Amino acid sequence: MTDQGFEILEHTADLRIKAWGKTKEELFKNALRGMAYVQKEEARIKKQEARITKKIQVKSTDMTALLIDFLSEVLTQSQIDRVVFFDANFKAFSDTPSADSGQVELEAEIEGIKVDKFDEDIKAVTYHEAEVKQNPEGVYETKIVFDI
Amino acid sequence: MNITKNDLKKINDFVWEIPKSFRADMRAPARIFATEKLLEEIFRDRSMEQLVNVATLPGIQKHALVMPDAHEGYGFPIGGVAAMDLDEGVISPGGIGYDINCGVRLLRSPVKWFEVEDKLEELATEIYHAVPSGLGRGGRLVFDKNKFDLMLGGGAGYLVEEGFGKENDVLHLEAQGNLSQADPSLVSNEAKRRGKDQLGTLGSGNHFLEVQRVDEIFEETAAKAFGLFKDQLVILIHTGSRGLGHQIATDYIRLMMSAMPKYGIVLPDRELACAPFRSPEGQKYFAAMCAGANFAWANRQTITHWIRESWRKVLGDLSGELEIVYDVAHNIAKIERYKIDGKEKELCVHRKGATRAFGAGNSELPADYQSAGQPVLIPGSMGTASYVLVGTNESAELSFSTSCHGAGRRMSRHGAKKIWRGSDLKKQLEAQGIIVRAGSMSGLAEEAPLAYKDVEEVVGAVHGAGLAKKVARLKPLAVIKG
Repeated sequence: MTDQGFEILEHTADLRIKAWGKTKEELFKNALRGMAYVQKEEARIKKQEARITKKIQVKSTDMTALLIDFLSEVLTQSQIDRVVFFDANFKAFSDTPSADSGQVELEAEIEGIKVDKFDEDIKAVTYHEAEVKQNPEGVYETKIVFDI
Repeated sequence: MNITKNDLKKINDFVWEIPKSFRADMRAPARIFATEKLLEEIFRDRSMEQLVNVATLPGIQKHALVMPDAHEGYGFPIGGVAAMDLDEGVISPGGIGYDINCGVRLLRSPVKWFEVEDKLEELATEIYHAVPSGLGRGGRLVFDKNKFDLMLGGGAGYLVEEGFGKENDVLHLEAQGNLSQADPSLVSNEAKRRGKDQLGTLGSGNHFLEVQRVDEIFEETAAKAFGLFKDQLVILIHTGSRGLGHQIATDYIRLMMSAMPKYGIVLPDRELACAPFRSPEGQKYFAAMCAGANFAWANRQTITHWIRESWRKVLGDLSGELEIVYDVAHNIAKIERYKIDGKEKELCVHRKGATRAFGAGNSELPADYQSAGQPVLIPGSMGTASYVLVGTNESAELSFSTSCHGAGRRMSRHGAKKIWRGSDLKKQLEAQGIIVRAGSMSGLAEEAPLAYKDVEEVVGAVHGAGLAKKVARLKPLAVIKG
């Protein structure tokens, strides 16, 4: 494993990545970075560019769905504003279902830069093969398949 | 449980069956249309396991099917077909895919390609500039909110009303380019915002435009009915519903995932998320999906209009008009009538990477195609060959009137990029006399012809199985990609 927190794997038609992190929040951040890397390989290099931030809120049935729905929400904002988001600060992150809704949820400020053109036009983040779990070393990891 | 060739029952040289007994949760057997050679390729990835998963969906009729160009998707395999009972069955957004009504349109010119050979470079450049990819700048046509909804409700016909085509254009489109069940109010604001400036844009991935020549005619009568002749210059458009469709699918898969427990539906893969067709969730998705399909037809209509402008600009009035041969959807769910146990009934037919292929006499076909049957358009991999087939009546019984949709990938995009460089590929295509206009060299590498199955073998299997018959082969003159 490299230290960037994600790697690109093989898939016949689409794009599969593996992401990991010592905490769930770190896993979510690394998965976001993986997605940004697919959208624009050089997204993180251009440090001089003006940062764009956006607040998002996501609620889902479980942790795996929360990750996919989080990435989907980021992708939606990314596509609408033509911004590659490569970082997130979590304002709230509940990993146990709330008593009222039975759902897990997060609130985040995502950060990115405007791009002239995406390298890859990601259509969607799929639930296919996604499963957030801890490996024997205690690191949270999952695969994620993007439809491109 | 791994599936091997030993689990398959050979029905004939082109049809194989996985019996219902293979896995306890299967509600129907599964059938694969393939030659033995293609079958070997299909076994290389997880298409078979995904097909078995499709066979577990509630209300599935007869068989879960997969076409010869099958490859691994998410949820459904690409090339998958499933017809559901409307009362007891489900609708699954995963059975349509994120690119709702991704499809193909073929335009025919009245000229032979060598009559305009010296203008081809200019034509390719002109079209490349007229039809943006949409990865960077947006499209050239942006409707206000009101018109955008009218377009979602009206499909290609609305674009014609707006001056983007000729009145008779819609006659030669599947469903006349408009699904009347569309409800724009069920499409989220996010989806509309994603699609706002994407009308008339091509997208990336396997989407492309090709200027082609008719290389060979296999069936004269049908070719004549479709207005095709040897050496004719034709233009193929392959694109879908862009961000709007992707967001509709995303929104409704999420909705259905949370609704499934309510309906007691348990599935082997979350991407198969579904709801009963008659449920509020099922009906809403269907109406939103129809709006997404209409957007795709409007998109291909807009692109057609701009290609016609480019054609006139480069070739003047002397080279005549471009007419639409046909336009097919290969990611869609449609309500169609089939005989089940001797009784005719309406079914919701999911086609994910599969093309409808109606035979002669079907009432949806335009008058001039009534005696021939429906044109089935099969884009090959970049720089190889594409096919025009014609639907048969026997396919109604065999495959819910369905044929393949393309060559079918056999290598990952990532893998292709590791092996080939876009610039080398461009040189190779150019060495074959093919003009290339591409926005991205790595995008070009992903679509390397060897990353796909052999289109000849795929079309041969479809022809052999009797799902559709070969009419014409098309060879590329110019490839235009985002």
